[in-house]
Amino acid sequence: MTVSSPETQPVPIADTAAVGVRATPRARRQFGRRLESLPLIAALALVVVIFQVITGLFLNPRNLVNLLAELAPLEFIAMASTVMIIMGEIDLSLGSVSGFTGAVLAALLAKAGMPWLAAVVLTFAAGIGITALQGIIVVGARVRSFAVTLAGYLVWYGGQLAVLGSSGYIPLRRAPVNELSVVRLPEFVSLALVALGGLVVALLWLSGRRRSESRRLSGTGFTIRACAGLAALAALLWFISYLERGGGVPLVFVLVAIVAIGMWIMLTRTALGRHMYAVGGDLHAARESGINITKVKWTGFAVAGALATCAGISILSYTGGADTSAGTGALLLAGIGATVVGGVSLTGGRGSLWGAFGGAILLEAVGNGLNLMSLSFYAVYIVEGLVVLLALLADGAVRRRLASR
Amino acid sequence: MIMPSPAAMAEPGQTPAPRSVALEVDGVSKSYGSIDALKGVSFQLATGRVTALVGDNGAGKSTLVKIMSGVVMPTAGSLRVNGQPVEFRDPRAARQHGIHTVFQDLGLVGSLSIAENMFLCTEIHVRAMGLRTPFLDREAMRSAASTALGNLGVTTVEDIDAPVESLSGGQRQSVAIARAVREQARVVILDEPTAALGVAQAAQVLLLMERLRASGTAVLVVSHNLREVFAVSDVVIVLRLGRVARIFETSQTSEEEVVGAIVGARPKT
Repeated sequence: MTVSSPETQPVPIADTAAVGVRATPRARRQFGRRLESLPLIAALALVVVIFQVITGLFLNPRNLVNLLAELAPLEFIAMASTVMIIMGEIDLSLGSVSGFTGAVLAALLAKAGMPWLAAVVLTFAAGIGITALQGIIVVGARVRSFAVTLAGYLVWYGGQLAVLGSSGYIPLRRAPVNELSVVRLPEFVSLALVALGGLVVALLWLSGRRRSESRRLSGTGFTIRACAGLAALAALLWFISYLERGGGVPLVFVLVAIVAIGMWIMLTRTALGRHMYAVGGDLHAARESGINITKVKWTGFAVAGALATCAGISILSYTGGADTSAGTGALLLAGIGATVVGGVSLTGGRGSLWGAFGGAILLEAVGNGLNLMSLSFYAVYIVEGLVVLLALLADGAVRRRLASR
Repeated sequence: MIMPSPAAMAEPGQTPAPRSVALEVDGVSKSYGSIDALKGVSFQLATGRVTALVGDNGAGKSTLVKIMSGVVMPTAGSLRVNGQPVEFRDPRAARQHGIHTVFQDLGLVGSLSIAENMFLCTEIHVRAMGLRTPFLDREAMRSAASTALGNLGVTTVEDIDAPVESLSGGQRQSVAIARAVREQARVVILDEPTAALGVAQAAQVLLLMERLRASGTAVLVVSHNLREVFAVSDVVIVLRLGRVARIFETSQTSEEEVVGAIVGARPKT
């Protein structure tokens, strides 16, 4: 078929009748995506081996249980940073907000004697309100989030000092906040939770494959994936039994895992999450598509505030009191570092929550291992910084390699 | 679930539906301060016809497209859909009236998949007990996206989950047009659709326009390339200095005559 016109050469289009969208084949693309997480997994394995060889204590179940209990603040800040960075924004106030909300909760419980539930609700309202307010300034006044949240970093650190008063410390001995980091789940509860989670994942996976014409419930691919899933579940169940020798899975880590699953579902399975990726990936295209940019960004700021509050509460729970060192800039920068190490692009629109989750585990494992070696705190900072740098270099090399394939 | 209109499945060469006015532009003017970008522009876009909008730089083409797509509001004049006056305060309002614009930058998010882009802001949600849940029905979106591409003759999609950034320029253009078709557009406006494409990819896009016309969609294509304009259009509207200089039936004019209208040459008497 040709489309001809007077006084022009005909435009041949017969050979393009099948207008070919020849995308990267699915299997190759998925394999490439898995390779992207290779540097992180390799780095984590390396860290575990090195610290186990040097200290002989790293894989001790008691140490691993401690590691999981310590992990919560960094994981929450890393998740909050992930949401912000995916939207193409950054929130430098997250550390201060966590410190401030921790101090507020301690004051409400220890000084005002408020019932714990009311105090927690008020604390969340404060945390979400702070970042939502900053979000309004960013999207309403069109000021860069870097500038607004840098101001917030100072303001809320000042607020934290003001709440703590001249002593700079509010001790807290009240259930259930204190117990979050102390309580270890009984083994059967942990095993039941993991088995239940595995069952839900398997059912969702099978349901998805049954509905997809291209992914049948048979074949080599299906068998390999099913076996891999069962092996992962068995390994997880064994790991929980192993942790039991160190006291059991900390309650706070279970909460971290539940929040992480919720955040992952929000980012990947809801319109809001996909709109966050769209806004961070291409603001102009997102606007042309009809996405309400203001609403999406504002919601993202509020979600980050809720996660920073979770971090504040977990710090308070772990340390048994609020002080001036809680939720500092070091926590914020480690959170951003974990996000970037986990492959979330600083330019926005790319990256996964589980990458950031793994990045936080890596940084916390490094800190934990260095503590086992009894190194001073400044050495810990230096090594953590180098780990971030090395992970970024390895990540960049792998991505360049994949892009050139 | 939104499905492509049955008309979208028609093949080129099939008898199109009887023509009617899909969009009427009536006396539209637009001023930016003391500068008049458009002065009383009027024309109609008919279903099942490809109308080309041509003109020199600064003639007002971009402003007119922005008004029709809801990006800017006219200073005076009106737009009518199905004879009813409409006011587009944003692109979403224009789309709700069936007017979809594929801008030169395509409005696609490179890091999102083909399916996600085609359903951006019109996502299909999982329903439970008759109620809409917040969770996306990704399988339904994949399937509908594949169908929409297939209806346009885009038959070799290997991976509907591939990120748009992995596609070529012509393929991206196909996805952007398929998105409009999927949303049952009555009018599709293509702003310089082949400007950044090679010869083969531009031919693909011309074929898509043919298919849109065959499906009964009103197509407005803004182009500088007169060869393509003559290859694909039924009507040529020439804008000059913010006014409609001439409207030609493509089959009854020549490139020379159109160029003359673009540059303001007086017709021989």
